[in-house]
Amino acid sequence: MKSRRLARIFLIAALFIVSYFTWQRLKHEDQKKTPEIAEPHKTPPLIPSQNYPGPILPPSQKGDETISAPPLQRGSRAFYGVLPEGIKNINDLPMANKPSKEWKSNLNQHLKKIGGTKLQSAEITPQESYIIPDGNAGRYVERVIIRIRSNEGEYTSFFAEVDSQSGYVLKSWGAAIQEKTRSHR
Amino acid sequence: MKSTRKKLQFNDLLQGALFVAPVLVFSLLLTSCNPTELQSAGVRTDPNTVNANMISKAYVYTDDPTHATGNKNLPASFNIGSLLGKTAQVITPTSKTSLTNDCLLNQEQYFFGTTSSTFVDCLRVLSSDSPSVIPLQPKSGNWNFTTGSTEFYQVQAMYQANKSIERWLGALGFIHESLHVGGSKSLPPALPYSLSDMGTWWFKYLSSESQMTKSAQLTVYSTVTDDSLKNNAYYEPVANALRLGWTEYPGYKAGSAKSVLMIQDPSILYHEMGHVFMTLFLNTRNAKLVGSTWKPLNYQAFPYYGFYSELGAMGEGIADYFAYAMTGHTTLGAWAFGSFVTGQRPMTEENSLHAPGISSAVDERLSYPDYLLYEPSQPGFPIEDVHNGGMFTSHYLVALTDSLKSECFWDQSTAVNHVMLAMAESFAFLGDLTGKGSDYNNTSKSIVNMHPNASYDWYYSVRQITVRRWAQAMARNIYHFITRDPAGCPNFTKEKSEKLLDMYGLLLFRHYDDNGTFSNSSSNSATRQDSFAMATPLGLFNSTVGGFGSSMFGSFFPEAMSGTKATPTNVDELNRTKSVLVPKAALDFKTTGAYSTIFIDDSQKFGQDILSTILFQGRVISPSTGIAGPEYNNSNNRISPGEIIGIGLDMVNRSNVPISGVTILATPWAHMKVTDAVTGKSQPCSINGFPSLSEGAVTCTDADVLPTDGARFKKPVTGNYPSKALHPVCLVQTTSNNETRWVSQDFYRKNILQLEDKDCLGYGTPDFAPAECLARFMPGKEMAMMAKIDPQKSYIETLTKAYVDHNASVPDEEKYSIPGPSSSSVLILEMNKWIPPGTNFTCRLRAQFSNCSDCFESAAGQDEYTDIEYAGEKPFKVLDLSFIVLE
Repeated sequence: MKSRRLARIFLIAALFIVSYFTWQRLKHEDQKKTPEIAEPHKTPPLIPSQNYPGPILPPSQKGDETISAPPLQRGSRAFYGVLPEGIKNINDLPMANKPSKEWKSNLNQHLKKIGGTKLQSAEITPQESYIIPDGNAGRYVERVIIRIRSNEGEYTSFFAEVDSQSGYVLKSWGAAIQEKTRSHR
Repeated sequence: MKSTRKKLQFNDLLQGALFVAPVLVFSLLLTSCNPTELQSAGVRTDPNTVNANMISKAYVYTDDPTHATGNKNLPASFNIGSLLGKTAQVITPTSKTSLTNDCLLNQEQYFFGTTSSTFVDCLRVLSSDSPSVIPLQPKSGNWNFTTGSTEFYQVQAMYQANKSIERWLGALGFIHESLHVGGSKSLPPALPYSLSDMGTWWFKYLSSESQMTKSAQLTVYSTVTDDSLKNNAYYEPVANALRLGWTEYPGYKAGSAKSVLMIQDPSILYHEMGHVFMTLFLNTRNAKLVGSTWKPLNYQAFPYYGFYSELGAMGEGIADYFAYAMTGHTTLGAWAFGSFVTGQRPMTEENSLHAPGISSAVDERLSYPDYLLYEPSQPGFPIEDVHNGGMFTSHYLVALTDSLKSECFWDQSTAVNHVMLAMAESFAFLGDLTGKGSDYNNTSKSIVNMHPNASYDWYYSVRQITVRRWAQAMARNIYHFITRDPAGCPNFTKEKSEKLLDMYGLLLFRHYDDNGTFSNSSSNSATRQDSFAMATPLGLFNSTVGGFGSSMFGSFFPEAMSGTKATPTNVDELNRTKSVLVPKAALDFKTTGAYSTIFIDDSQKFGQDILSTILFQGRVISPSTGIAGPEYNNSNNRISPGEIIGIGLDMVNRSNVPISGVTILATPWAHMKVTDAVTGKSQPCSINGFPSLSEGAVTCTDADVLPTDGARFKKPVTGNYPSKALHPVCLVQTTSNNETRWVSQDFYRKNILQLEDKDCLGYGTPDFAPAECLARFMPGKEMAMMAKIDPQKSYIETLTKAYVDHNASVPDEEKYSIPGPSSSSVLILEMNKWIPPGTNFTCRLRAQFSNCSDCFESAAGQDEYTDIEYAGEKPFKVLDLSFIVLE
């Protein structure tokens, strides 16, 4: 009985390994071929391939609490980052601010102030409300898109992370990449 | 057993079907092929009649007028219709009722073969972003419109954009397969295995989940003719859009026809798509698995910091290379940027646009940093601009492609795919804001960008992607994924790769940094911890790299399983002949006095203008309300209470070779030791003898001061101050009983000035730090960059001397305007109005440059400094900027 079970396990393993190496060899033979460019419109969409079985031995996606912890949730807001030491529950996290409806008008006023006479228009488009770590507390923030245009026709846009209470801009990124050339020949 | 067998049978069937299906499809296409060609005399079939052979097709031009005709002097009124091909091309799938396309990624899965993912309508084209513009629809089933109409150009844009996306996704599928499925690898790849599920191969990450679908669509605006697009085209990440403008030709007057358009030059669209693809490379890892769904991070890594930077410059060169990969031409913008304005760029040394003295000879390449300020149309006059500064990148990449073709006997497409592989790997790692660095990092520690809570700061300021970091990453990935991979090209040896890098001045590192040292580990050889050496046996077993059950580390890191250290791959120093490294001591103040080194603008106009200038670079500055502001600026070229001042450091290069990629950081760093976490009392560390112990300094070790999470020393919301943190840079001097001491601003304002929190700079903001109550470099402009400083010159002299000399010898009408330093080289300092005149400050800035010989490791043969050590002084030259506040 025992030897039969061992034989069965051996058979499965052998079948698995042989299949794998056969397949790998076929792959290696194809390696030097130039990959063909896909013809997207000839293949029915699979958005995304969720029904496709995952790899049998995928690289690690788990077991990584510090750097791969998924966003926690507090109310409707996700928490991005790593909780301060000693805080186990997101609901126990002390908060540095309170969300206010004023943040957007405050930000708008600030943009007008620093844009000065050069600024023709500023547009703020909210994207997501969430929480970030701030020292040993958390902070409610908004991610927004800011679009600005000058009286001379200059335009740019960028992402900003804004305090949900005061409208203060904490971070910004993703400004447009201009090619503007300098002058006539 | 049964299910295993079934799976294997299914797999065989699937693979067989995958092989047979394309053959059948191809055969069908061949049998039904009936190319639709232009009628004689250029008359096409009646557009109002549905022609089955023209369904979803249009006639397109595939080249710009200059290259297509070989004529560099074409008029602005050139008839683009004369370039249309004779065979109609497919523009969209037949199912599309408007001008959109789908994106498809074929990804090889370990063991399970190919899987396909599609973003439906990933791409659309509109003529402009005017609200009245509606999506274009086919006419009588085809996409042919009157030549020169906006509809015509929309169709051309769709053809070009879709072609480049197909090319890129084809390369990405190849890259993924090469890294994760085929071949044998000696380094864990950064490009994620679950690329398809993550959705980061297209723009799933760009926005919040609720807007994900919308943002995943890339929009090309094909003919935007407003003033912001004059001589311009741009990639706009927030809108996920490309905007293609128009060229102002000589004689153009407002209201006359804008006949020269960027869309007429396919290389411009391909270049902009290059920015798109580089952005995607940088963010392939920036998503997190929540349950079974991948969600984007709150920040992303973009290839641009808003002003001159080495990443921005390389981004332009890389985008040029993408255009080359599509067109095969080694000039970018020959028509749109070349015929009527100055702006076309060469990509090989043999290009006729180059000045004499540049050739493909080993020592005449367009090398870094010699040609960072080089403009081919006026080679004697330096220009600090990302487009000029990035040309070494495109030249190196084209040369690398040529080398791979000749050394590996690859065709152009295969060679380009391998160059893309090295770039994808480099950027996937360097842009990883999760810190993980590789799916195969089975530990809980970061190996890149410090820590998830600090990765934004590290990526965007503390540890930017410089030329050195990029060149090192390229060398590493070429070595591990091309040279050492039997399925790659062993003939392109490490020596050949290093020699090519060196020809371009890019061999700026001593080893490949391929041991994956943890971000929080010391670089000290006795205690260092390397991630790849620390991988668990389970992690190795689970690795798909190198084949099932094999140990990729075992062959490359012989001591991997038994120790905490791995030996990184060293550069062969004999290969370094052109890449000259310079000690950091060569970067110096112009003179010992701060006021003769810094150039200051404290006019009211400057105070206001700089805020709006920076705003249009994508940074929002927030001056302290009521404590400082432009209204206090007094134009005396001194630092006075209440002012907002532009500070430029006119650094000099004391060496005999150029210094390049100079970055000066006024961001907080670990130079203070916290002695009382409750009150926040802290004392300055004595660094390079300043301050001395008798002047109030203490001795600090890394263990005393370096924070593992990059925390800033701000007023805590609750509880204590962090015991280790990044402190504001400016100290203040206090004198009592003939004893001079340097103290924190918090100590000074409390004990000498008796100022309350509300009287401090930044009070009431999330950035409020009492230790910068009196003087602070403003968040958003606390980093300065200088492309290059020539030997024995200052930065300003490097930029201006040629112009000054020229102007001195020519009549007025031939004089050039002398360029000032770019805004990227300026820091903004804010001073509290309550500071008594006569108060002395010293601000401890940190400087680094890319071709530095002693900035990146403690000594030759030692490991490179780690992310956490970039919180301290070791990788930098500390610049003690002293000044006195005057009325």
